[in-house]
Amino acid sequence: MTQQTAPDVAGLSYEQARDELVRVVGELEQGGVPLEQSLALWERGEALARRCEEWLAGARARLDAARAGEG
Amino acid sequence: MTGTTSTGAGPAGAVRADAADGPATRDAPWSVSVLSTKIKGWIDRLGSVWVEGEITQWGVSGGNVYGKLKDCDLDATVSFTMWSSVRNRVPADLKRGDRVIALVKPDWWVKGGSLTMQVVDMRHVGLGDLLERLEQLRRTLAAEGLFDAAAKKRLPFLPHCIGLVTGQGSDAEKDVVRNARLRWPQVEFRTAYAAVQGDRAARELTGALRRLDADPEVDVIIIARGGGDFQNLLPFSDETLVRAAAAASTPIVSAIGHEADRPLLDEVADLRASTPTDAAKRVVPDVGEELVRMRQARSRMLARVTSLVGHEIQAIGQLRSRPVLATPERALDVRAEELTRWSARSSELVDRAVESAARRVDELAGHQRALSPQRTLDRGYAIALLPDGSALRHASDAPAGTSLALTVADGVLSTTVDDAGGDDGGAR
Repeated sequence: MTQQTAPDVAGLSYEQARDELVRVVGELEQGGVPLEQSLALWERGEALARRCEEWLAGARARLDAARAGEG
Repeated sequence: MTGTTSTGAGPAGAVRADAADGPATRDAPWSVSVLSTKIKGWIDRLGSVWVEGEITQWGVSGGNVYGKLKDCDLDATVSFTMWSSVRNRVPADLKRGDRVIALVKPDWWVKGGSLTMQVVDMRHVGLGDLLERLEQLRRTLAAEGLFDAAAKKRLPFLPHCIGLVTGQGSDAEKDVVRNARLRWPQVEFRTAYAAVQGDRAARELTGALRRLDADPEVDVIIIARGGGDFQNLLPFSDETLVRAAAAASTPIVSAIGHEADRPLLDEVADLRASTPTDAAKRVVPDVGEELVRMRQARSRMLARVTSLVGHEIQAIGQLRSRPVLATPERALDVRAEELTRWSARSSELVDRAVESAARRVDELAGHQRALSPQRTLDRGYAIALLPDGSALRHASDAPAGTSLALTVADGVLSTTVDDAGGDDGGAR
């Protein structure tokens, strides 16, 4: 796929990042991608997964803070 | 509604002639009894009259009633006396504040020189008349749209300052303030006291209402009175008050505890409360109840968001654990193995090619050796070389005296040609 033109991961919403991650994983699993490109795909997937995890960790921290403040 | 009844009392002429027929002068004064008797004569000529007014004082003493009757609109009051015999005939529930018609007979007491109004009969102002007047006003105001639901203003959710119109020190005031504070301790009140019954009530209520409506800090006004009978509530149907309430820009709550015969203020108010307590409850939200509701909403919200985030965390975890992401080296390993395989194969092929070339070289070397002149020499032939190194092929090329080098199988001999030979012979 055209990963070169993909937007910066940091600018993606959680859903955008997750959906693209699913697509990247599917593409990698299907195979048939030139090695250089699959390496680029994998790097992209890593970045997307990190972005999603960061977002979720932040969300969880906020929930915990809200819960702590509620008492 | 007043009427005179002639009592047939005698004219002033009833006075004894010897007392004084002419006007009293310094030289011929009247006796006190003449004066008093003359006054009685004049007063008696008024006879009995029906009057309408409001009882403003009602004191019972020795079975008799001593009270005061006040004009319904203007400032005029008279005292009256009702003997116990009359009292037994009139309605037993007459009391202070009631609007009545009374048949009174002015009575001058000659001996004491005092004037009293003897009540001969007394009854409530015809309820039917009042109701008729009230209904008429209700229809007029309704036709003007003063009671329309669309004209009702919304009450603020939480008022900062409540305007309260009520009687000073009344139970209604206590009920409103206590119940409002119970629900929301920080609530503020601005109270404007007014008479809530009697002839001053309508005017004072209207004034208090206008004052509070003009106060920018007051964001809702409660008009409260703790019930009362139909006549006591008449001021709350006063046209001026009702119109003032309709014109007010502040939302108005009426809390006149009366179910039947609702006063017109109830119709025009933005909210009608059944009692002062009810008004406080409707105007001020219960802080505890609201906090509980808020807490519930927050915990439901939190639970929902927590489960959403948990679900996503799981989904991302699963994506993460897929081999392509978890062990991306595997893809490289496969290719590395391929590479190794191909490289091994290629060196094998190269080895094989080198070997076959070496064999070919050996073979060719064999052939090469087989074609060498040495073999011919071995069989006994010799080669004669001329001094210039070329092979001697023709006898004519070697005249006598020519030096020849004879090459045999294992050496070279130097010779000289002795005799030039013919065509048939050489040096063999």
